[in-house]
Amino acid sequence: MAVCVAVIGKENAPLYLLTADPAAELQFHYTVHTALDVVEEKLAATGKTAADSRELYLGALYSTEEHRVFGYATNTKIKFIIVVEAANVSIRDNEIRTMFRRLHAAYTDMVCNPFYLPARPITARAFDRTVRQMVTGAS
Amino acid sequence: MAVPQEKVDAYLSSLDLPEELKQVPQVNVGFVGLDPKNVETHKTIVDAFTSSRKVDTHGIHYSIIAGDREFPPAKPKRTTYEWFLPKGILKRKWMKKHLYDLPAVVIIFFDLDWGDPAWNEKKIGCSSRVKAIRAALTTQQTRLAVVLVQRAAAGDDPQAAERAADLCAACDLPPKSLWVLPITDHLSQYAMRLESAFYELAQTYYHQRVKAIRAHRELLSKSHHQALFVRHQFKLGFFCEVRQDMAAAYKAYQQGYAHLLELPTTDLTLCELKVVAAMLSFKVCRLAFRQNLPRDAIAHFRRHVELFRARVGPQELAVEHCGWLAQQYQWFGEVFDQAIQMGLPAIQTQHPGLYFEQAALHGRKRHQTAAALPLDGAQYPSPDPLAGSLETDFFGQRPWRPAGRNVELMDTEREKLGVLAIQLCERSVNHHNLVIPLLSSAISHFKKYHCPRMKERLMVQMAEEYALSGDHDKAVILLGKVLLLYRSERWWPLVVQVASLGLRSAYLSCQLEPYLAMAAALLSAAVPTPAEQRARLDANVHRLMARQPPEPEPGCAVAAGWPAALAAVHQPVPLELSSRDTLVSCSASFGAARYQQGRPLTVRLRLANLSAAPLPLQTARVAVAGRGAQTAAGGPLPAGAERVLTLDVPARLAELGSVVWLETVALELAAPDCLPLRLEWKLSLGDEQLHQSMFGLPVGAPFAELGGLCATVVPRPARLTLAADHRPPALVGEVYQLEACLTCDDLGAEVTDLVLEVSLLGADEETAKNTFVVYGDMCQPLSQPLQLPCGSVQPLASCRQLLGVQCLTAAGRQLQLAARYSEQTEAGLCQGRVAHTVGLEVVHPFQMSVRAVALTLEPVEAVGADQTALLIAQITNTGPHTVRLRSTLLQMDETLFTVCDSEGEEEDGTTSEDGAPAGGGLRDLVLQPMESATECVAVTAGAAAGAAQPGSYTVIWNRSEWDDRPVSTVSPAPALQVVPCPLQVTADLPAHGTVRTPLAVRYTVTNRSAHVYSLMMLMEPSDGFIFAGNKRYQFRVVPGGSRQLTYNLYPRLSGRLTLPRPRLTLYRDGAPVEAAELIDAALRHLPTHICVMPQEKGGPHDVQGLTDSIRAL
Repeated sequence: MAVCVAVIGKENAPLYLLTADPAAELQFHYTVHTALDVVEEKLAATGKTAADSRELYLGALYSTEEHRVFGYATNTKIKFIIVVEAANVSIRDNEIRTMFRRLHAAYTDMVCNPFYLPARPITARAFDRTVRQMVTGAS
Repeated sequence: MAVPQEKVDAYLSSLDLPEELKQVPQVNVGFVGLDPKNVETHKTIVDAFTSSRKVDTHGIHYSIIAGDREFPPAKPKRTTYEWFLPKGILKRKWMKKHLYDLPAVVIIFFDLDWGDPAWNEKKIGCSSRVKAIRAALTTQQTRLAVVLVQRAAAGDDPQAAERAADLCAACDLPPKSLWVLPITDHLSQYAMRLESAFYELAQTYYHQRVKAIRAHRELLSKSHHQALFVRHQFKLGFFCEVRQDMAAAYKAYQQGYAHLLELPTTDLTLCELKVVAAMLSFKVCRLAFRQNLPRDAIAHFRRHVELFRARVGPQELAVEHCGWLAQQYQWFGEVFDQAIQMGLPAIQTQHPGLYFEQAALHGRKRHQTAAALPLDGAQYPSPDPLAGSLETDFFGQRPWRPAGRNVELMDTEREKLGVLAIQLCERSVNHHNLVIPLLSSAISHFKKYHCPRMKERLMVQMAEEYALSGDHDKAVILLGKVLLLYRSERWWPLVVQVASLGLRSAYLSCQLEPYLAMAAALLSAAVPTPAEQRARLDANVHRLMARQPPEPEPGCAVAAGWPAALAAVHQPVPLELSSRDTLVSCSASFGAARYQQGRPLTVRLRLANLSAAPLPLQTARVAVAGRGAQTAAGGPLPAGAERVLTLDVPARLAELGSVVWLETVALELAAPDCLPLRLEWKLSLGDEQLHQSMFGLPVGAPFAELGGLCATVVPRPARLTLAADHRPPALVGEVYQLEACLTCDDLGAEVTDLVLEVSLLGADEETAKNTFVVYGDMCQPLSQPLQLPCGSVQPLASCRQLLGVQCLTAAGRQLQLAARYSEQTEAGLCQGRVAHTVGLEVVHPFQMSVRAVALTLEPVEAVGADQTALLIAQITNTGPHTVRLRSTLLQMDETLFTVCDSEGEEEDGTTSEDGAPAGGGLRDLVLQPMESATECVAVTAGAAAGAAQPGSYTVIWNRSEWDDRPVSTVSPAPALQVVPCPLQVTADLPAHGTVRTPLAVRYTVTNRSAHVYSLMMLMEPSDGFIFAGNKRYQFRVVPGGSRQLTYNLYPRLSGRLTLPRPRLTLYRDGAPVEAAELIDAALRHLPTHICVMPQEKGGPHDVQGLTDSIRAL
């Protein structure tokens, strides 16, 4: 399904990044990092109108020849980025939303761990398992 | 083998979109008969036309045509296309022909005035010229027109109409195609008018062409002439564009594109197809933008790229396909950019930068593909198969194939040579020079549309390109910038990549400082550099420090410049480190969070050598913000060793109350034969650790045991203690004595420049105005603080200062005593301050009241003239202190009253020596708390009547314990009224009587008026008395005179008896008259009762003494 899933911290430092193809990880680091431009712009635009009733799902951020990038930002400014292949046209917006919701739930569970220090890279196994399921497409 | 540069250039230019396609097509108008080089007027005419084009909306291209010019002939018109097979899609020369060579309108200029004497000859000359041009254009439908250049404005030349018709007939022109152009000052306006006329004429020409093309279509068959469908649609679009019919042009090009997609493709025709598809798409997209349909343009372009991306063609020419794709993105970006310059708004996710970026991406792919081509030892074929690639009949056809025979493969050998030539040219192209401008325009667009991270990514790509092209200096600069940005966002994987790239470039260009900086970035503890790379880098840094060239980076050739670069270094090489743990783990902190003013700041520097070899640490320097650096000597730091250095930073007195923070830490590494190195850490306030420590977040473990990066300078503890010695509460009006006591401790030198400051805290203005501080002879209100210099105090000594505070109102006050002082400390003269607040309760000393009574002790408000009243003053000490009343003074309105001198009646006989006006009888009376004193003062009204001013009753007193300053407290005395009293009756009787002892009473009736009063006195009998005298007596009293009536009363009973009451009646003219007011006033103050004592059994007693004692009361 997704080729890359990333969790970005409040200060835009990466907390977690998983790619379907480990060899292309660096490339996806660039892709996710550049997607933050659009995320920031979208957050700045919504921040002015209604800060509290904001939709967390940011929609498609941008698309290249190969990939489409989707974003999601929690109320604590944690950003989730999912990259899917541009060729994969079967995937619908709704499915992306569901993935983000699952990701958010997994992240929330992970943060509830009292031994996790905020803004540190995520190493939790349960979280990793959930994300791997998303990347492999198994549900 | 290297291909000559001119061949490469020619190859590259053959790949570009043709110039005539890129320009906006314009109406082509040809001028005949003008010679601007030799004839002045002709030059002005040409200038008028060409210069007016800037403002005019018509796009007209003017060309000057010689009279004998040959025009391209029209092809014979086909009636059927049945046997016609097109050899290609778009002819290369066609656009050029219509843009430049074949005018839509030919204008023949001829100098001829209406009134020209040689009219007929010139008319023939003109017509022959028209005929010549017409003959040259015989196969074309080009419009002809004649413009007569005349010396003056036509005016109303009578011959004009006739001669015009004559000329038209001679030249075989419709009358509408003849114009006159007078050479006057308004030439440009004439030119503009003519221009629109030319434009109209040209429109009809192009319209005709369009119609002709449409007519062709009927004759074409779908099976054979698909290429012609494309060609015709292109021509249609082109002519519509010239006619500025953008919508029709757009549609035509789109249809052409659709027809193109239907063409069958083989590997041989693909090249032509792609070239024509690009040309059509270019037109479609540009027109879509022009018509404000940016979405359509983008959609078309996406589809275009989608359709052709996969159609690579023969694998050996994949490099050409990459170039083609790059070119597509590039021209689309340019067209998009042009549209934005025309006012189209762009957004962050859709702007030209994205397309330039893609173009660059494909350019990079092109380079990679070209580099991967197996071309070892290949020779550039001769004759050049690519010669004439810009002269093929059709766009996109291979120059080595026979003209027009692109469809079937004729010669396999030549084909191979052609492909080889292309491959060799591609290999020789400097792709980096193509990619870098694309990246730089992409960067500028990303910057414009708020994509900083995208920009950073492109900067990395640009640096890669520079590195590949060998320009390592630029690569290092770019990577250095990007590295900072990535590091600030803590994207460590990207930091590693960028730093590794930078390290390679720095190694290859032998740049010492960037090399060290990049290595340091990779060695930082936060960066996930692999351990073996870390070890290698560490070793390389140590090699550099030993002035040895570093090991080459993996995959790099040995850079030869290192020994020279290392030999040139004499000054310490600065190396700014952003992470605490790079090479050396360095944590600096203040020893405490607070420092007292004037005490030195201690900075602890914990150093641990993280590298594998000892570091020759020479000195460590710590700079506190706003002052110079402090240096501490260090020694060599063995590998893995840890050391704590403590530095004392001298105090600065001026820093009191401010926050000081550590700014930089620098370690100088130097040893003989060693590269001097200065490691610097900037501990700015934005530093992460500082940030965390400021917000109370947990900081890394090594830091926890140390203080923070900032400390506060707090005042030293006060050397003095300040106490106030006083006896509260204060009494209103008194000078309250308060003693400030300053005691110095023994923790330092003597305290000098002591200043005691007295002020009121939080008092309103009214209270402040009514509070005075008395010091010596000075008395000032406390609305301003009082400063009292008190000299100096030795350690353990104390200084006392007596102050007087006078409060005129009873409100409580907060009095602040503050002492400022200087003390000599090790850092200089230090200021100190101590304060003490005294709560002061202020109460009234007395409760005082003064009331007026008549002699009969009845309260009165008015006194008759010449009568006496008593004022009774009562003073109660309500305060907690014993008070001595020194004297009292009653003051009444002097014009109306006389205050009886009480002196004579003093019992103890003491008189006021100071001669104060008498009127108060109390002298030196001590009142304990809650004791009262009362005094009675008689006042006699004068003769004049009237309302008196209120009097005053003043008590002069002081606290018995403080003898000095007497205080006067004033209480108001009642304002007695003096009423006129024309008739006055007084009674003269003893103070008391005795039973059965007669007592004499004498009533005196006095007339104070100017009239004679005739009165009748009637004595009413009383039970207690038998009296002797006139019971009823009528008499007269003359003005100023008086009459006495004497009675003897014989008391029958004892006790308080009612006296016989006299009654008066006023008579006038022998008859009684009503004068109740007069009579009442006269009788009001007569005594009505008398105390009668029982008769004593014994002998006689001193009645007189008793009487006196009663009077005194």
